[in-house]
Amino acid sequence: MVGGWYTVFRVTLGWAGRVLARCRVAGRSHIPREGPFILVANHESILDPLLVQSNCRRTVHFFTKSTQFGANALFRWFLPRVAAIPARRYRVDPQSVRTALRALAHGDGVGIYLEGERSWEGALRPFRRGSIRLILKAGVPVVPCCVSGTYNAWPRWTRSSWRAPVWVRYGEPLLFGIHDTRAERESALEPTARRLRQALLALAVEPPDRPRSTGA
Amino acid sequence: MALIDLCYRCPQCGHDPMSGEGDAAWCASCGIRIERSRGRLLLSLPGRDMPFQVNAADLCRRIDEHGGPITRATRDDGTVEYSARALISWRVSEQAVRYRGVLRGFAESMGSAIPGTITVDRERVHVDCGDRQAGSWRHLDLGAVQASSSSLQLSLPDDQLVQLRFLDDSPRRWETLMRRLIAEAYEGAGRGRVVEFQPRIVTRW
Repeated sequence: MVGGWYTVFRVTLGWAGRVLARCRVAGRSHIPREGPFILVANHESILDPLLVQSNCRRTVHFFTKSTQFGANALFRWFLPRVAAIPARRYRVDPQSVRTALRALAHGDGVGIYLEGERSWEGALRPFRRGSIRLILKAGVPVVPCCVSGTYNAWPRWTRSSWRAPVWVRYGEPLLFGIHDTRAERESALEPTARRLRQALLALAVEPPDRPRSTGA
Repeated sequence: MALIDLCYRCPQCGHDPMSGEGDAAWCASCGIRIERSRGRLLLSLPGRDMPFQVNAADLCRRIDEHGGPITRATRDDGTVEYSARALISWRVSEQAVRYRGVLRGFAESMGSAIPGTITVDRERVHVDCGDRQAGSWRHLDLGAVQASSSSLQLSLPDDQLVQLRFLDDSPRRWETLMRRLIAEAYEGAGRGRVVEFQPRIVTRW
């Protein structure tokens, strides 16, 4: 479903991430060698897509906000070549779900930022219910991936980046089973979201120069 | 984009708005200064030499504890009215995104941005930019609300989409303010608690 451009960008950006962003990667062995899977990640920075996708050896079709496709001519050319799926965030978008299910049927991976947007404050936000429903409908292995440190490198609210250490950690695949009916998916929604949240938090690396939230 | 998009009011004393530029923000009332330095957020208290490191999530929590955007938007008589200048653009079309002949999805094309204002009260949101699409909508009629990069997007009735890029205000403030007012409108109308604001507003009992 994707061509040679994907490999070119994956190798190039993976190298740039390791060298320029001081990116350390762990747990790549958890990514299935073959067959469909869903990769779920947290989203703290504009750098996350580059690092998560380029460090995964399999092809991953990531949901990408549709406004990016219209941002400029470069993005219009580039995004389909890195297997981005345009998702309209201001309405339910069945076509993006169809494209994701088609990629899974083809044996590829599908990537989802469960929060649906970049976090303003660098903390994990509530997950989008539609994303959880897709996971439950697809019934394929779900690989959690936590990116840490990119908030220090380039948070949402600034134009300037800083070369901070970054970690990308992939976790063991989670299995939730196929939930064919809407009722089954609705009843499994909350426990699935909780389990995914725990899996992502367990993978998080607290950057040494970033204070822990007091939670107070 | 700037630090005052995140810290739109003072996390220390609650003064609203914070002053700032780029990666620095300071409070004209209590004198604290927050600055991003080498990727870290440092907070300086007036009269103390040594800044200390803070967590962005804690700053946001303190801002919420002070009332978030609601305090500044509330008048002395208890009514809510708040407005800001923005560059306003409307979705003009949606284009199919294909790769190697296969449909991957759709992406919207936004029209040219027009300077205008957005105003909210407890009942409605008003968008005024001199365009024929400008108008006023009840919070209960909005389809979705989300911040997209430094813009706010509102899904309006009749499948309209408006995008607002604020000229001198924080998109995070507006996202929080709109979501609070919409949640209050739904609860006030007995339509349940809002649990999701995008891709559509979803309520639960």
